[in-house]
Amino acid sequence: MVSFQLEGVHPHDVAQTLDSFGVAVRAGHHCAQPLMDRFDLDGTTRVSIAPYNDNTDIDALLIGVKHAAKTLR
Amino acid sequence: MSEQLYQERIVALAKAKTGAGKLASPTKSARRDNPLCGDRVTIDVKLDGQGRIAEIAQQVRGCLLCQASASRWRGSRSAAMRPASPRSVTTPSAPLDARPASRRGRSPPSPRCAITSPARSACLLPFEALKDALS
Repeated sequence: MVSFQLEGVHPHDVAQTLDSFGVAVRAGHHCAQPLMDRFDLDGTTRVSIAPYNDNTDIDALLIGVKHAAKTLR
Repeated sequence: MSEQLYQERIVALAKAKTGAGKLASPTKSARRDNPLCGDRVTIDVKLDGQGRIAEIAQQVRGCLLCQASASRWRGSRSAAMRPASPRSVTTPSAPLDARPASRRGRSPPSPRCAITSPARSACLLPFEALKDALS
């Protein structure tokens, strides 16, 4: 499980972009608002993998993140 | 795959970050949080002697729609979009229409085309913060 921020792009916009690539992630505070305030974050995008995921899913994730960075920054 | 998540104009508005920052000595200011999505908007306004908005600045910690909505005030040359007085600040109550301009006006937007929460909330948050600042 990896939580990350894409600099200059809000986590919800990252998640929505990834959704259009068929990648489902969670974004936002993750019910941890005090922690987000502590680190002055507006949220994170959280990725986790399951037994049914394969390399094509990871590739789609990376392509989607690059696309979000390219179009929304 | 969606080639473009948002219209180019919306992305451009958000990237412009027009009016982003703080005022050195605001007359009034307010902060609004959207607990549903975590967006946060802080508005500073400076009023002139007649109670009209002379300067406005905003700090937005939110999604692209929220940033674009706040950036619109200073970016627009339209008097209708630039709040001139506290009394002129209102928030839209009808559903926002996300359809292309050529298809609007013929009929009410379907639920699929109407911008609803949380996107709608993101669009309105800067206006709600401004109303708080001016109240």
